[in-house]
Amino acid sequence: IGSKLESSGVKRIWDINKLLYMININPKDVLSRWRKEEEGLAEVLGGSEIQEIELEHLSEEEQEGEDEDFFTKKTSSQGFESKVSSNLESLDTQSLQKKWGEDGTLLAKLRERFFTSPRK
Amino acid sequence: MSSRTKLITFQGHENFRLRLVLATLSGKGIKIEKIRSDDLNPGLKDYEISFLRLLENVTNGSIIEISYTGTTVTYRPGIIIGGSLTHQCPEGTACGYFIEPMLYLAPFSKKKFSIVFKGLTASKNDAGVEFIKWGLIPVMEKFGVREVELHILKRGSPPLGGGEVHLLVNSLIPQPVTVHVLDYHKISAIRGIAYCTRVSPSVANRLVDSARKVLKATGCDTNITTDVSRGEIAGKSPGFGLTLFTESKKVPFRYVVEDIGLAGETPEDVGERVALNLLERIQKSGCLGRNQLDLALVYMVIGKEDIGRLLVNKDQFDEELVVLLRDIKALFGTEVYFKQSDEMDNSMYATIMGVGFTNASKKIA
Repeated sequence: IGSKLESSGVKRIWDINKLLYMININPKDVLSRWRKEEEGLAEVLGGSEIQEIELEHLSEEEQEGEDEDFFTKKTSSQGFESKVSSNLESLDTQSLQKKWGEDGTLLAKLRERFFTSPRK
Repeated sequence: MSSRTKLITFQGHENFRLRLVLATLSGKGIKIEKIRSDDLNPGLKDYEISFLRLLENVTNGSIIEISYTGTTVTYRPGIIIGGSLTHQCPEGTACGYFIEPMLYLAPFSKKKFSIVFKGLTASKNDAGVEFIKWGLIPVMEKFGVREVELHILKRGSPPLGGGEVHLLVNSLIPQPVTVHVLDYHKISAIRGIAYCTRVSPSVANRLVDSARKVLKATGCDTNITTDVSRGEIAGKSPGFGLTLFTESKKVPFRYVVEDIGLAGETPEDVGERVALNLLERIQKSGCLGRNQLDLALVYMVIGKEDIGRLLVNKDQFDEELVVLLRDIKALFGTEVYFKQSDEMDNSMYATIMGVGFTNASKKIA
């Protein structure tokens, strides 16, 4: 991937390893910025034409945030309820039924990837 | 710990339990401020205060200070001592909320952990005891923590609960072993437990049938057992639920999903929902499910001064994970490095250098 990116001239700005620890960017933005770039990269790597990825640039404040000392810097309030179990996925039953019921290819892909001895 | 030591400050109520757990393991004092400071009902909730009490009981020398409004907590950790005790969980919060963080501390204790938790054994919001038993204890095993048992003495369904669970951690280790799991493990079977309390035993069978109907399409062996609690061991409220998990021959890791039935829901609804969620969980997981990842990452951080690697799925990145990784850095000074997998789509390797944590009691011995 790295070499393809180099040849396409696209630079990764939102590297997840940097984004994760930029404490001035809240977690929601971290994920949206990263996912946005991931989608852009998929287009570049998959498509015939090289497309320019639309990326936001770091503000000065954000750049400073990266170098903050974690032991003295207060982490920002994120504002989501942590007492939420991640035992179940966020999709409701109807969406899941649609996803897994109608699309047999998805199930076949899953079967191929995970199960050792699928019965026919 | 000296009261003069500088405290690491966090804001908000996010990741409350793990911040306290990480502080205990790292031996660093923390201050959590602005806890629901903008809410109509500000400050700590009853279940958080209950957790602080539990933490105080399993440690020696910890100092916990709560501000008058309850919006600021200062915690200076002592040493983990464990021991035998009983914890009454507050109404509406499942035992899992309290058991989960104990799994991070128990193996590094001075004495063995033997805690009886009383309250709900399953709920919509917190980890159920079956999930802990089949999902988290195997993760501990992989990191060298054996002899962990979770006995369900009584099942307690919402709203009144009345359940009893006994957590027993006999294995006291100096530090977790380094792990390298770089591939998806193949699933050999799907197993599960359908349980019910104070309702007709046929409810459990209906849960099994509806789940099997969905899982049939996977072509994988499915074996779901039923557990019908009657009389004193059935708690105070009627209820039912289903836990499904995968089995693998090579790795002890399992993907686990669970849910309980609410008023007005049929067992068929719940069975189908949990089964569909298991498929979704398998598709969106790395070598572990999202609900098991936190424990694995923390064990890797406090492991030997060696590099451990774990396969994660990009879909597993959520806000809670970002907060956890930042908290780990704040308390242990270590960063988790994610590297894109060249062979597998949507997958990354989480690489972590252990901090070389050593169990305080083992150091003396």
